[in-house]
Amino acid sequence: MLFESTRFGQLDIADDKVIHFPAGLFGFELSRAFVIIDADDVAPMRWMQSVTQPEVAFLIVEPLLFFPDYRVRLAEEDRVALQLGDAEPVCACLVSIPADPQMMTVNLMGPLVFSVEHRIGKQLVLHDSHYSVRQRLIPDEALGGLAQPVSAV
Amino acid sequence: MLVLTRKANQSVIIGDDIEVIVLETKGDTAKIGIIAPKRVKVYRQEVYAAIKAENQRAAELTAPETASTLLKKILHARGQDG
Repeated sequence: MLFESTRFGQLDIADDKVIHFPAGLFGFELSRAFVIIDADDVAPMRWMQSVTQPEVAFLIVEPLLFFPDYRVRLAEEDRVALQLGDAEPVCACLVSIPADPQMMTVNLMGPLVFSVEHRIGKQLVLHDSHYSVRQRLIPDEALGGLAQPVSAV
Repeated sequence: MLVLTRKANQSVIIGDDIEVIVLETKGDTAKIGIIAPKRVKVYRQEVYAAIKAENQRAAELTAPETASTLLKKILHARGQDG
């Protein structure tokens, strides 16, 4: 399938690479299918480009890379919606990058979960958790360390 | 919008299987109870609004390459610590 995206130009997308979000994302209910695009210049983040709305692209990151204790509790009906069976879903969170990239945040309250086998995705609302919609990815104490060599502990 | 007046302990039924009960009112605060099947997601509106707003913000990306460099440094530094 050829798709003309705003950011990446023309994309040739294999059907088996498309992840379907039957409910869309909150506020992007018309974006019901996405494709993940890996690019070195945004790693460890990845692009998630809508294949129904050319201008809609997000950056996602695997939350466990930065928050090893992060846990998503899936309701039974979510497992059914994702057709997970006994499999575990893959989890990714949306990144927001403001004008000052050091203030970038990740949305841990509204994670995306995917079934790898069926390529179905869903945005969850962890409303009874303490997770933030704007969790800083780069804590203040890390900023000093970024400028200088990191000493061994 | 349908507007109904309810007193404490009165309820409204929505569809076949959802009941919303006004449990208590105090000043400008109402405590409500919701009986609904598990498949029906119930959130405070502001939680939904916050996630919607954050999705919107996430779609307005400015400098992903700089952000990527910062994240790589953090992971690298952590790797050295570990």
